[in-house]
Amino acid sequence: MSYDDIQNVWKSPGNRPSAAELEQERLKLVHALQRERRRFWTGLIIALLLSIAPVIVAVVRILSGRPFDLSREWGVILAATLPWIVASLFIRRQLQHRRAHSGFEQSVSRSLRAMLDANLAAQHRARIVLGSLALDIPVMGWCLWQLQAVGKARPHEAASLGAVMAVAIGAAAIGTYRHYRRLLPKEQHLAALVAELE
Amino acid sequence: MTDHPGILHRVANAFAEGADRSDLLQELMLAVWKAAPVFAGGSKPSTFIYRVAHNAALTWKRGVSTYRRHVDRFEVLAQDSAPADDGRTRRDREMLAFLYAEIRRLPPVDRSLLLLHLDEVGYAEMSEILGLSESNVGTRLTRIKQRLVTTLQEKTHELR
Repeated sequence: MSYDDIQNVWKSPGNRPSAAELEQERLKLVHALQRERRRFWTGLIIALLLSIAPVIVAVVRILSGRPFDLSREWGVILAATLPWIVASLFIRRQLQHRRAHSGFEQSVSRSLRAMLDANLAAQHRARIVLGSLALDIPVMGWCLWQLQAVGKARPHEAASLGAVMAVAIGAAAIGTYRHYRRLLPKEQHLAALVAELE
Repeated sequence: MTDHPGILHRVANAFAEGADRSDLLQELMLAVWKAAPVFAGGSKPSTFIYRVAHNAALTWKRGVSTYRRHVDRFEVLAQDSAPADDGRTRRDREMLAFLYAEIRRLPPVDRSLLLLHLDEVGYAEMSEILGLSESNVGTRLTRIKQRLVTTLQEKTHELR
């Protein structure tokens, strides 16, 4: 068997998709795209609701005349600031990535390098989230203490709230750590591909 | 994509088998669809599709299943409309299955190079798609083709 024989086999009709197969794949793709759109919009709406709800609750409380003493309740400001600090670190890393890998679509080699850097950026984000969750524990603890100190929460209410927060922080930490672990073999795979192309 | 349907099918065949092939083909179609807005017409549509498809195939990881064993056996590809007693078509299909099984044994980047060469993509275009120098493409292809011919000769001889 020669390479010409191989090319003849390659060009044979069996190596081309039939019209029926093409149509089947097209329909599957349409369904996959519709599913992805639904997931995106559902996720976006949930994220928006979760972000806006605490702000609305706080505004309603203030407008309804309930006192807010900044000198004794500053912990909640710190707790609200943490996510914005995390977001700014995310954005800074993402901008670095985009500057370093503009034109990534020009070749497979550049795309793979960009994907490797994106993987490293995702690992960096996961580490930031884990760090912020660790910081959340004393900050939330301090907020609960301040709520009790100003009389806005009784001890058993603070304890319940503390338990709920602990579960939420723990679940978020476990989920983030699992996501981080999944990134590592992907990094190795991408690094091996980049090395093959050098 | 409708003008170059065979590209994605051949890439999917070379990087996956069985049920994984269908998953990969969907991934490739999605990748091309998502990348389409970036295509500014600076290269041929086929070059753009090759680039996106090979990038997606190289980075694709099949889903891990504890139930399925993935053995790279010489399976005959999906039935086409050719009559079953057409000896030449059946022989071509069997040879194609051998060929794809061997292509799947190659390292990923070598696999991409061979697929592009079998599709008669020129060295300059291959260099543009993969981001390798033309001399590197030429050297690697010579080695890959020799290895493929030797292996397939041994395998087809064993089966006589």
